[in-house]
Amino acid sequence: MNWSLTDNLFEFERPDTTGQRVFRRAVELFAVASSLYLAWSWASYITRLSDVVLPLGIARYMDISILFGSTTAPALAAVLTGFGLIGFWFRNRWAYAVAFLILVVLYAARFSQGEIPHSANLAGMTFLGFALGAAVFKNRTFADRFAVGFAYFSLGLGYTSAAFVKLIATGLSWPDGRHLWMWINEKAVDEIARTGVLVLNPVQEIALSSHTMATGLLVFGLVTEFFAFLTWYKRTRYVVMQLVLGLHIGIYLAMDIIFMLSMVELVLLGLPWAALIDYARDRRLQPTAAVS
Amino acid sequence: MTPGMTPDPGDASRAKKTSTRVLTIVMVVYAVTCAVNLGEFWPFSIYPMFSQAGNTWHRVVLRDVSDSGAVDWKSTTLEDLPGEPFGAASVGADPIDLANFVSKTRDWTPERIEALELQVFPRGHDGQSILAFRVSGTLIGDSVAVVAKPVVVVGAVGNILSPELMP
Repeated sequence: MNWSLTDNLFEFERPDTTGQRVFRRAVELFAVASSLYLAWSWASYITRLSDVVLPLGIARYMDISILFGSTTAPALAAVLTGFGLIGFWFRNRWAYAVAFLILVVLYAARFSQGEIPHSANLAGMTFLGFALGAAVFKNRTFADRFAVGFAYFSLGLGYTSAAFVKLIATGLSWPDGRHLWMWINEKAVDEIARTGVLVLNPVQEIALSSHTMATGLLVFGLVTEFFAFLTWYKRTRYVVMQLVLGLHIGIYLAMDIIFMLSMVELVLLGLPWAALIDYARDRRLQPTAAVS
Repeated sequence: MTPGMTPDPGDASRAKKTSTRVLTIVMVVYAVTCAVNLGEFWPFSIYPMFSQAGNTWHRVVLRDVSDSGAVDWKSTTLEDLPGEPFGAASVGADPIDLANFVSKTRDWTPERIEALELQVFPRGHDGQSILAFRVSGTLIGDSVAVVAKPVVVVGAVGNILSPELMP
């Protein structure tokens, strides 16, 4: 097996196919569309904020409150939209980089209230990959191959890092089922805060009634996260991607937390779409056998 | 590059070297920004969510106390909360934001209370009063003990801070 990271992630030497071109463009479309969606949803929320509770990231170095209570944030989202579309349609070298920097500022303003979400990190890293690819590579095919490979790299790095942090912060007792009970109760309170009422689903009921089941769910999650770095390698990529997707479905069922953007991206990156498109195209182009 | 075409080996080799350099630089920036910014510099992160298992958690619950009279500032359980249910989603507020806002605020200045009021009533209170509870969960043996502590009332009756939290 070839263990070269650059060969497995970027495949610069591989002949190009129609399926790969369509796949790369689809990933790029996802990266741009999700960035526009995040920018506008964050910008609309920023207008109702008036005080910084916890400065995150770039907010530790600049006064992010200048974006509060005015039309500055929506204006930035509009500028980001312009650069995002220029990057997508005209392949301007620096357009994605400018759009990405604006997105970083909007994130810092939106999440200055104490919450530290991670639901948009994967989409943000994917967009960064396209920004870097466009800025560094003049050859479009290489730029896009770098971006898609960077997305797989970020995905593996993020999940495996999460497993390490859990083991460092809590130790081997992390998958104790009682910890899942704590999180289910915590999320139940969030649901009461969100809607005013609470209804537990069957998976939550089972997890709360069985320590073994709760522990099993956490063990599956931790092991899947730990081995997520195997998405860097072609041979193991798709199996691990499906397990990570299963992990997210489990998180949704057990804790009512849905990382929609991450799940869409996992479906996009987690199936061999390029090969499927090429297979379908080859079948369509094959001459029909003559009927005697 | 057209479909079916193999990239020039020289170009591919240069692209590999460039990608290795870029990946190395990104990793260094990733590590440095996370190291000096408490593990978070979006989109870079060490992903610490759910890492501290078993620790006590703090969230928020809002109750509509418009018709409840004087506020009882004693801690209570989720089953015995005064007033009527009030969903943050009904006013477009994010409950996790509110939970962090309420639990991480140490100094309840008038500005901080007004900031909370703005999140709960972005278009004015319209005669409503909301009592925010800080809800804490603690693992005790094989069960989770959940306690709700009243923090502040915002809205029609005026902004009233719990006597315990007054400076």
